[in-house]
Amino acid sequence: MKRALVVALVGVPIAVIAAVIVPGAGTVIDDINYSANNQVSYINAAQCAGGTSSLSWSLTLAAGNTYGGGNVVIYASDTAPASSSTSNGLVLCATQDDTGASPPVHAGPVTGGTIPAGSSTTQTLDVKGSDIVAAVSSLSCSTDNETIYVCAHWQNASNSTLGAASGKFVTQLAAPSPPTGVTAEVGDQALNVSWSAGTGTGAATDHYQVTVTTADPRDPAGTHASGNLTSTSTRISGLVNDVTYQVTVTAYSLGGNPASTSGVTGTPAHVANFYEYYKDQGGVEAGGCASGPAGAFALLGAAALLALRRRKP
Amino acid sequence: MSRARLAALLALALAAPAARAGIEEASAVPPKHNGSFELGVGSYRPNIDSEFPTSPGPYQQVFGSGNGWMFRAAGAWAFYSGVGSAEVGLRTGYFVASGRGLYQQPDGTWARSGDGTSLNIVPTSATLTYRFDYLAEHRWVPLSPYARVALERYNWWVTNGAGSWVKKGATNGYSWALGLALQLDWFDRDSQRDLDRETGIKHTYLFFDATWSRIDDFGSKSSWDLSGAKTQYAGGLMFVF
Repeated sequence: MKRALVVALVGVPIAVIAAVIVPGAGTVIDDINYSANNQVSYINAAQCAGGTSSLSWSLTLAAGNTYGGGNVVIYASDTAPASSSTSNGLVLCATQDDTGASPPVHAGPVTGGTIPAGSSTTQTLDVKGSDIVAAVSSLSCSTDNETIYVCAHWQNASNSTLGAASGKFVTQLAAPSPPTGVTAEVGDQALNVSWSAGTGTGAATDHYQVTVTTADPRDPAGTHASGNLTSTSTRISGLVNDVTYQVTVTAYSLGGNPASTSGVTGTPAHVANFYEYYKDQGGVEAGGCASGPAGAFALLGAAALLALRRRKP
Repeated sequence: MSRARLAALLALALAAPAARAGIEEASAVPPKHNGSFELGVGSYRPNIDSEFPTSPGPYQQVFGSGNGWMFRAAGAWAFYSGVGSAEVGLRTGYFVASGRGLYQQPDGTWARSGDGTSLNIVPTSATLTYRFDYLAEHRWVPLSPYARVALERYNWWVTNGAGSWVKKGATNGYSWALGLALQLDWFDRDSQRDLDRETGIKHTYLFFDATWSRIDDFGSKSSWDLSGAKTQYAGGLMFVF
């Protein structure tokens, strides 16, 4: 009964949180390079070169415990985490090498931190991707597609592990092929950018981003970017007519490795829509209804006639 | 429309009064059906460029020279069912022409931009239809010629590259049509009986018609011409209930 109550008290809020943000209960992810479909976080080339991986996790607590602050240690291992041999049943990473095991286990601490009492069981910490890989002595950042298990272990003041979260990470060092055939067609205070997917042996493209930039003082913003796109065209609006912009299209792999194509320019201009062009050419239509409401009355009259007829027995 | 096809349609339409003499007793029969519902699609191209002396006009420059498709749905109530049937009804539909907006280059010429623009039309009609369905009902000839006149009101709007409405209005007019409906019951009576029992649909027709329209606010000098630039051909399915 007590266990059920704890699960209810802890699990329900976590489930609510998980509905709107990642990570889920008991899971460690990279905030940016996480694929919910694959349930994998990626360590990309930039992170392997010392870039930051923004870890985020949500602790699962041992039965009978509530979170009370203490230390969190991040471990990395080449072996999947398993239920601990202690009675609390938490899923933990190996914390050190065990070369005598079969197969041998390579693991070590990445970093640690002090978490104040009263903190949420959902926490974040920035670490270097290279440090995650370096914690596993059997791996290096020179190899693509290596699997690393990352765990957050919460320890109380007595160094007992009372909470944990774990996640699967994979090194992805290859970038996709850069987009080809980038064009920037004139729009009204906008550019309509389209491109083709790159062809080659690079990583698969997960999404694109388009950035247009200018140093022209007539556009103080200077830079305008799209969000993540899965299509191969977009309209970048909010630009200034008659200002020339540099257009860059970047393809990203699932792990966030970029491949860009630039060198294309575009200049927004005033565009006449059909009605505007029609009027420019001397068209007479003025909008509204030139014959007044007569047409509408005629239709309404017909409808009324029908309604009256239907009322007859 | 070729003269031969027009003549065939007219002959079918004119067959209605000719047949009346031999079927006097049928006119006394109470209405056999309550009305009809139809779904159809037809060719359409507004005659907007007709007001311009040179070709291509703005419509063709923006939207090209081809016809578009107008989708329509109609419901009608029968007020007479004897020697044929007569119905009054309402019809609506949708047409859109999509193209690219134009921008003026430094040399003054116009060029096609990357911004889209569209002309959207929702035609609404009050219709009066006479269908000579006596042969299909009583003589196992599955063809029913019909004639239709309609008061038309075309509500329209134009969008720019951002998808915003930049102008809207309504243009009124009228149209007339001749058509031929093929009663599909003729091919499978059992299925039609099942359909009637389960849904109340007494007959199903495949129809084709030709429409001539004048949609220019009855000649107003401040309205564009949304009449069909050519004869509009349409086809679809009609369900009589």
